Amino acid sequence: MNRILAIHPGAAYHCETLEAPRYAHLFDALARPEELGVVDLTRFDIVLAPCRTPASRLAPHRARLNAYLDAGGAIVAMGETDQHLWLPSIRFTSVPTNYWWWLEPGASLGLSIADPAHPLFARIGASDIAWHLHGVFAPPEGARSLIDDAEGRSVLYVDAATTKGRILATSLDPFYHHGSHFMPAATRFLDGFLPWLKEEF
Amino acid sequence: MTNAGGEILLVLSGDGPAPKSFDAPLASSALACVRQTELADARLSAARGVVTTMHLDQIEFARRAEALETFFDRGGRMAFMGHLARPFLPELSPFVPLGAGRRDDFALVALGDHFVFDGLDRARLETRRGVAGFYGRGHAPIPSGGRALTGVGPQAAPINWIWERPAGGAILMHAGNDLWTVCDEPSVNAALAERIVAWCVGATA
Repeated sequence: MNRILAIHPGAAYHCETLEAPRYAHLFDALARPEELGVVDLTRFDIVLAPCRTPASRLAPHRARLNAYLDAGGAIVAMGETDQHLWLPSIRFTSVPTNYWWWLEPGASLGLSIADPAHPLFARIGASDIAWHLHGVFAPPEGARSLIDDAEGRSVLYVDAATTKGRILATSLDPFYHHGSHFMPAATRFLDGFLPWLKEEF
Repeated sequence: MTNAGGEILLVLSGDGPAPKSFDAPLASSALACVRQTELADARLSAARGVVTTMHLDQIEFARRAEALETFFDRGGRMAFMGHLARPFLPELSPFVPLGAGRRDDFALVALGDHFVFDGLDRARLETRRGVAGFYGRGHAPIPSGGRALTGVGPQAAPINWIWERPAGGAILMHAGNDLWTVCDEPSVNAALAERIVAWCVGATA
C-alpha cells in the first residue's frame, strides 16, 4: 500500500473529498500547501495535489518537490493546478471548456482511454472520465499517456522519464466536482482512481 | 467604533482574475479585490463588507476568528458563497447536501423578500440552458433569529438567508455556486454582484 500525503488547500470541495468517510481512509496524512516546506515528504510514496490547488501556494515549494521527485517520490497533480508553474517538463495548453456538450443527443466530449491495458482501466471505464475538458498536455519524451482528447493530446499521463521519480499529471478535476456534490462521473472516477493510487501506482 | 467608510472586499482564493460580474463596482472603486493569502487581519476587521467565494480557503478563514469577530462587532456585513465546511462563528452550522439530486430537489422557492433578489423571479435562477442544479445543491442551517430568503427542494430548505448577528454585523448566505454565476443572462449575474456590494455598503437592510 502506498502512503499518500494529500495537500489540503481548504476549499469546501477539498474538505468534502479529503475528509469525508468515502475517501479519507485512503490518505495517510493531509498537509496544507504552506506546510510543504516542513513536512518530511520522504515518509510518503505519493504527494497528491487535488484539483484547484492554487499554483501560487505550491510554487514556493517547487525546489523541495523536485528534490522529492529526484529521490524517487511520486507526485500526482490534478486538474486546474497550473502544473507548469511548479513541476518540471509540463507543457500545458488550456482549452475553452464546453460545459454543455452532453445536451446534444449522442454527443461525446471526445476523451478516450489511450492505454486500455493499463491497470487503472480495470477500475474505471470510458464513462467515468468524461465531464469537462479544461486543457491538454504535450507529455515529455518517454511519458505514457493514459487518457487522450479527440485530437490525441494527453489529458492524463505518467512521466517516469524526467526525474528519478514519477509525475502523474492530469487536467481532470474530479476532487472539485465530487466535493461540490455535482458530478456523478467525477465520483466514479475517484472511486476507481484513488484506490488504484493507493494499491497499485 | 464602526466600520462606516471602510472597504468592501472581494476575497479571491484562487489565482485567477476577479469575476467579470464585478467589473462595474471594481471600476468605480466601490469594491476592492484582495487575495486571501495577502489579506491582513487588520484590513479584514476594518472592512465594512466582505464577499467570499465558493473557493474560499475555509481552514485559513476559520483561524481568523478574532479578526472576524471584530469585523462583525463593528457592524461588518459578509456575503458568503458556497458550502460552509468550517463554521467561523459559533452560531453557524455546516452545509447540508441534498439527497438524491432529482430534478424536484433543485426547485427554488422565494421564502422572503430581500434587496438582492428584488424583482428577480427565482425560477429564472433555477436552470441554466434548461439544466437545474447550478444554483445550489443543499442548504445551510439558519442561525437563530435569521430569515430565510430562498428555499431549495421539496422541503424548501434554506439555501439563502440573512442573519443579523445580535452583537453586530450580518451575513447573507448563498449555500451554492457563486451567486454571480447562476444565470444564463450576464446582466442578471452582474446585477446580483452589484446588489451584493450595495448590501455590504449598508445602503439597504
